[in-house]
Amino acid sequence: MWLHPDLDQALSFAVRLCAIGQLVGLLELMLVRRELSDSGFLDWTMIGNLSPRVRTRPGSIIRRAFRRLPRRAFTGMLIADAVAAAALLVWPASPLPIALVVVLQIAVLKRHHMTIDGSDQMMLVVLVACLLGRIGADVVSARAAVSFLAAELALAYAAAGFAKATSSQWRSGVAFSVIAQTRMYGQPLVARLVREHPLIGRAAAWTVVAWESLCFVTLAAPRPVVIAMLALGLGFHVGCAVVMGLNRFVWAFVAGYPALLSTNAAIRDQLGATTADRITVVAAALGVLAIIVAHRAPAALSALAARSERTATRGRGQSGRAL
Amino acid sequence: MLTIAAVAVLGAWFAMTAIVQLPYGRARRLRRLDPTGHLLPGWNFFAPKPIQGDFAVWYRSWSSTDRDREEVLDAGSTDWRELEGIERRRIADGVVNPGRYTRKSIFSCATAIVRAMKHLGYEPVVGADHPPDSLMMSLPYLLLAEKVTDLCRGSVAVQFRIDVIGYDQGRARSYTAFRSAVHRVAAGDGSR
Repeated sequence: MWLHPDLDQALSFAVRLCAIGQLVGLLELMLVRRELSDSGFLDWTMIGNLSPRVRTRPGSIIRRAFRRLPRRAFTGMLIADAVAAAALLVWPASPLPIALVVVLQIAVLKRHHMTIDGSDQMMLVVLVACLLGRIGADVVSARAAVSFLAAELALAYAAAGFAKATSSQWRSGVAFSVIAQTRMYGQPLVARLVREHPLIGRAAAWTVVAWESLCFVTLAAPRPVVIAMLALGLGFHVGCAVVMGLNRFVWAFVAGYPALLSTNAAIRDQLGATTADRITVVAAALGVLAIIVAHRAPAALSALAARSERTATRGRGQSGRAL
Repeated sequence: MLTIAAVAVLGAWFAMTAIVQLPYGRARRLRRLDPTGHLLPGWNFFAPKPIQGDFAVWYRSWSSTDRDREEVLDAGSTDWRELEGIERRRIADGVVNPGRYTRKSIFSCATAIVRAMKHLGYEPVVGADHPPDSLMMSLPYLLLAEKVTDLCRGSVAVQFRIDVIGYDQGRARSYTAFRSAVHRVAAGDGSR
């Protein structure tokens, strides 16, 4: 079942894993509840000081609502979120609790806009896709949602991988070494290891770049390749959780793995093994070529990337998304 | 009907997500169509420019003012103390990481202030600084000032500074990138 999920199982796995991630996030919030009180970093009398008019209409409405919401009501909202997330572990196919968790998560993301990271966004994407897949209540909607999750996951990894391939700091291994040394995302043991053996840092950086950039081949690749790639992915996320403290990324991203397995099976069934294998080889070759182009023509691509970074920074405003 | 709508939304959503990954400002403008503001993320984690170093927020306080001028003297302050939150992480953070809220908040505030300062062309000076009003009224500045004030209950004035820590071959090198104004607080209750 784990390696050959059908549509229903793929969506249910995704919802359950996101629910676990959501519960972990709420547990963390409970453990740092002092930050919700006066002078805390999540104290709404402070973070609500911004103008309630934000980029999106739902954002403005939610901010206005929080201005009127007493602290106890917010605590009640978090408890409701925990109950709904726990309900998803038992009834992952029910659209109502999925919708409730989605709404509450958007509200919490708007309230805690300074602490959002990629795992929050991936969990939201997965839950909304699963909700759309369940609303239709038929095979076509479920297939569309599962295919979307697989494609989104492949896109996320490819975007991260090719962006890293354009960076001289990633290509030289410096990026890995610097990240490992920081207090924000590093671990002293790993930092020392990379400092004493720079080749390890370089190999790790290139492994991440190659794996992320080529992960999209899992859409059509033979089953052993897919399992090997996803096992590497699981190891990558567990490693990031332990070394960098990105614990919720494990739940958010691995939630899409059953969808990838299901979509891979569907594509191979549809195309036939031989054609799918040929497509995989061509896609892998194009991926490698793209990494080489990014490696050989860094100046032009870096200029584009820097421009995109500037645009993104302007667009982010005060959200301060560091990842 | 619901099925067609679900398939259409998912298809359009994926196409838009793919487009916003492109390194063009115009492509990213599509985010305006996202009603929640979180459904069209940029997936380029730590790339192309990874995190370059750390921030450390330090603060100090004064317990009395100069009698004649009602001002605080530089020599009369406490030592600088680091605002706790971005200390070394635990292995257990791989499972449950409660410190991420405080850590990310301090990091986001420091990043926003240093960026805004560069944007305004503001240079920190050694003594009591007077950052631009727009910066002092910004949320990141207010959050840090409020946090520091709360930690210095009983003081008459507080100040914080932001150090940027870079790493070169394992050696940490830091410099002060920002110094706040000295803020008077009502002694006893720590409120400004």
